[in-house]
Amino acid sequence: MSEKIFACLLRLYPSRFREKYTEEAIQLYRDLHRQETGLLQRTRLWIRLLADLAAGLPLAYRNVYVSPAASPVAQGVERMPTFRLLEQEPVRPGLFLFGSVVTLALLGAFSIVLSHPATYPVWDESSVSRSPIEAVLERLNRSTSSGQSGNQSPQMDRSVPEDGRNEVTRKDDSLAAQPAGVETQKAIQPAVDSPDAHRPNQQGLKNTQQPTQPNNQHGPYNSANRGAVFVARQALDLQPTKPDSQKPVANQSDPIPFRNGLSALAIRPNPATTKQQNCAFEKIEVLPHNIGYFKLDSFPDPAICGVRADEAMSRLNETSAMIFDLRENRGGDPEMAEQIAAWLFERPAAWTNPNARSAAQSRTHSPVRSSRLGNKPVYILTSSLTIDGAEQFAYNLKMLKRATVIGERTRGEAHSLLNPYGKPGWEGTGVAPDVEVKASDALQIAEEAARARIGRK
Amino acid sequence: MPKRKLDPLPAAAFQILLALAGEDLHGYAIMRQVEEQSSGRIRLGPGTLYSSLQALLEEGLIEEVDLSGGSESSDERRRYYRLTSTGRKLARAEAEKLADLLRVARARNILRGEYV
Repeated sequence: MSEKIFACLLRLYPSRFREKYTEEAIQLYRDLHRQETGLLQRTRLWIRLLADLAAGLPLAYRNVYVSPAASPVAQGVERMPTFRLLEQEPVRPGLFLFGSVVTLALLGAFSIVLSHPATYPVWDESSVSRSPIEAVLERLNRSTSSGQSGNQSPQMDRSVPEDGRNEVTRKDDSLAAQPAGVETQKAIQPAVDSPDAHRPNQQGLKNTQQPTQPNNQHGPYNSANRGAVFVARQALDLQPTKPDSQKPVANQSDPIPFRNGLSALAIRPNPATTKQQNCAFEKIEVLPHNIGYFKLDSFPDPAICGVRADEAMSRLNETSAMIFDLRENRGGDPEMAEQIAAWLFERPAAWTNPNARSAAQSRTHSPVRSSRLGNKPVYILTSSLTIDGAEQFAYNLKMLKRATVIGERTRGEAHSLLNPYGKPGWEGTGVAPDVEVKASDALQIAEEAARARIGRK
Repeated sequence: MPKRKLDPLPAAAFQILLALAGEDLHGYAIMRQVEEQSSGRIRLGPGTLYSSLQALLEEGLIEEVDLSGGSESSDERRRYYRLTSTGRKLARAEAEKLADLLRVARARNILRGEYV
């Protein structure tokens, strides 16, 4: 019986080894078996044999089993074409076992990977770099279509009442408060910087731009003034506009909160769209004491701004505390709120999502691989204007005890939310802040709190 | 390629070379001889033994000899192995290497004279 087991074990060896040595090995086993009598000794023999199997198998597979003398090459048949049959080794049962173990392991690993949703960057079509020709064509098309309405375009009307506003933006002032024309112009700026094709024109542009600056609040020019059409358009459309020294058009050098290919592309003289170019991420900066400050005035569609949101968060990734300023946030896409919140957790957290269709969608997609914010203190600034998606963001993080809400009670508008926390939502009541202060003081309080918290560590 | 397998020379292979230095032996006898010369510390099993023998054969350090007469039954017929001159040289080189080490060990007072 034991000899049969030994013979079975021998089948694990390569076939050529077995061909040559099986007989002798079994003979040797018989000798050993004869010597070792008694249960204890036999057991020791088997332990020895198993250890030998582990040590001998790799050795056996490293051998080539062709003795140098027997190989045809060595027999002086060089230069003669020779045909040798490669030995057809039958598949050994051991291989089936090995194969099934490996398959099971792979399946297991695969299912584990599947059950851990990984974050992936949202593909943003508009961020794909276009050829300069495409960019120019698009701009020309847009300018001719919007040119029909000329100066009576809506954004003109819109910018007028805002004229009186102070153009000097305070640190925490929103860019949205600026006239729409300024933003459009800013948004164009990268387009001038980036495509090489425009470079020869730049000097000329700067010259021609000078006299028309007062005209710059007109959207159509903003989009048209970089192309050849510009000159023609000006000739057609030259009309005196009263110079407005208060207009902040000279602020071209102002930093744009977010500047990349995206802002260069979708240029439309529509304030809503223009705002979307910044993705309503009004301010992303690192305050003193390494406190991250992220002012966002809405939660835009992740399909458009998903990449930006991740960029913004990674810019603040190394900070010691985070302040989210939602005081002027008008809500938006719950998916975006979740995407940003995902950065703040080290593991998936329960997350109310009004659009959730499955349980998996009611959890944050944490951890975000590169995030280092998972354990940093978070502060959320709210005001009585904070509404809808922003309330959801604040409410969730408050309920999860992940953030301190500072400021005023929020507006209290919800769209029939499922609430996993077993507590009343904010419908009608708003999200009550942890620290109730005037909205205008909230940032200062939050900074102080963050500083104290960082200092304590 | 051939150099790689036995460089450095594994302990089992060196023991087999030493065992074959005196006389030609078959597998089982080699096993016994190795056990004896290492005072029972090294006990080769069939897997290690035949794999090592095959490797040594492929390197040309030992060769097979058929000492058994044709009259014996195939059951009893066993392959005998003989040390080749290359094998002897290699074993000597290995032993000298160890002797050098021994000298150093003695000079550093690691061995206290119980080994001559």
